Amino acid sequence: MTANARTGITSAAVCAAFAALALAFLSDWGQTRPARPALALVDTNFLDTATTRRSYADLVRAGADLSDFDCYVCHEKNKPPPLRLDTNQNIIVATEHSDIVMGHGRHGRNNNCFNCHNETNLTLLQPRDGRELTFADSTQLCGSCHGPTYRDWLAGAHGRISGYWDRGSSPFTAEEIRDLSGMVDRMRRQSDPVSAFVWQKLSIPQQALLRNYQPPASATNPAQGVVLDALNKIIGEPSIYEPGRFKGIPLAIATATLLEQSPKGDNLIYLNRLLLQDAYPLELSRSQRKDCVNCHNPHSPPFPSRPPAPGPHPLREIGPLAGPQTAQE
Amino acid sequence: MGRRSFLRTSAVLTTGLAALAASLKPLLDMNDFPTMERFLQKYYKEMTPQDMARVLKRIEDEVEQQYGLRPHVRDLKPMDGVEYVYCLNLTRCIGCRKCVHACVAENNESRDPEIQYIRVLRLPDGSLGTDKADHFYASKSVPEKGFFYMPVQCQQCKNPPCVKVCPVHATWQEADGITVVDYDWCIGCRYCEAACPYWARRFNFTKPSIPKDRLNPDMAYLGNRPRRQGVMEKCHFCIQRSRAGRYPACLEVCPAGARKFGNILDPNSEVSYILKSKRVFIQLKEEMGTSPRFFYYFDV
Repeated sequence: MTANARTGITSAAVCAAFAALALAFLSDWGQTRPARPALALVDTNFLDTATTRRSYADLVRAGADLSDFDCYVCHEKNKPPPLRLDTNQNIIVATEHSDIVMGHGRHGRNNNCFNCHNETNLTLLQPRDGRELTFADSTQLCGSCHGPTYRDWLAGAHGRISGYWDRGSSPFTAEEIRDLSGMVDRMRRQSDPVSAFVWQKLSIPQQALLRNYQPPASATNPAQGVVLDALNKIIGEPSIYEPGRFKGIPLAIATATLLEQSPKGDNLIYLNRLLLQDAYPLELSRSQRKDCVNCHNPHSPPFPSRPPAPGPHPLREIGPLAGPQTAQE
Repeated sequence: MGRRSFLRTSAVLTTGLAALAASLKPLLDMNDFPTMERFLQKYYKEMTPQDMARVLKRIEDEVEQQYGLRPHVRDLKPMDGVEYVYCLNLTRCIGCRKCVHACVAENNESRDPEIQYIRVLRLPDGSLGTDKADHFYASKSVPEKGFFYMPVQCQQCKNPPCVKVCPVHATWQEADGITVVDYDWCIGCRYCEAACPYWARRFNFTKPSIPKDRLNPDMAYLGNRPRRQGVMEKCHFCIQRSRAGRYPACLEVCPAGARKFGNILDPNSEVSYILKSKRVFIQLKEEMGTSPRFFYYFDV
């Protein structure tokens, strides 16, 4: 074969090889990637940060129907409801209250309604020390027996909390104003002493701006800026609490506790913040620790997700019980 | 050269080039080329506020173009006198993994493949060894008897091995204790992932896919802005929230109140209270000398 022919055959072979390679690359070497099944997105309800229960204070703030809490629609005033006990000295819950399952305390030791409820005034709760508390202050009742947990709760170490870890020094932000028109309305009408106090802090042009405010308005409404300015100026001042100013405004437990401590510095800012939030419960959103009843059912309090501890005493389990289980805590 | 040799040479060359071009076909799948602006971007610590403003605008433009939603990207600086610490109550954790998914939603992590900064371990009661841990438990309901649950995420170590090994200083620890990653500086070598004893670091093997309606538009430069293929990411204590004074998303969603977060330099914070009064016993893998800022404890 001539050199020419050999060259021709070689180059044809090389061309064919290259062409084959090109085809192979273009068709991915005959391999197809298996299609991965698409991952399902998580249900957004799973990400809800709401607590499992709502407290009485939550219901008041939300303007919900509170007729269920009006005991004297059915009960007679000044006539304590009689308690009926079964042969084991357990409370028989009336059918009208059949949603209540009693389970507070081992050995049935706390299964008496009037350990917590005030029998002469059913709208109140009664801790053992003689105080009378409203339903909104139920955490004080729980804390009157569950001291270590209550102290943890006050420190922020027990239970759920949301909002700001930066207690004192974070100024009010726009997203904390839940109801701008309500707030402006209260301020310009000076409908209560706190609103009158806040109104006095505004300059004349600011007051004029609020007088002219008409809802609904866009999110960047200047009225919002004015309100935020006023609130943030106030929280930097000495304590805004005066009994006359806050008469008729129920203070949250955190507020009352902090007020007693006469705080200074960051804690004073935090106190003023809390006072303003108490004065405007519907207009400003709170960032606070949740109450006991936001997670625990007061009648059968075990945290719903934990299986109850077995045995007569959680620290002294020595084996399976011989007899029937007592009422579970 | 004669006609024949010319034709032969050109035939070989053409088919050769065709084969070469065909072999480079995977490059056609690349669609995430850096713009010149991003390519020439300065190192984070050398940027002036004007540089940063331009960069933030670039990011907002890019996100708007890709997701149809204009985000609000901020460069939040550490607060003075703040060092973050996370405490986790192992008596309370029920292993529901809500924290995992809240984190994914808050931090714009890729959904497919799904990147999750938090990994919840299920350990049998009485053991603290992570060798007995089940990372992939899938029980019908939690908590299960005989087990306890331990969520693990970036521990924001005081002595972080990931920072030590990064060849380009794309990751460093800030004054408030958070170890951050500059996603535009990371070269994706994954040394930090190898160095981390907790597997806190996640790598984007593919372009992250975030459904448009689930994008969180409240972003931070060192935090939850959308990442690219080929960069590392990890828990940053929700920097867009914590540096604005708020709790991280994992804490707010926890139904059991197992998570506690705050400023350890503040004696009145809940984390100070916990470290003083609780049986805080674990820093995970204490023997590695990383000195994590994540404390596990048991409660009554």
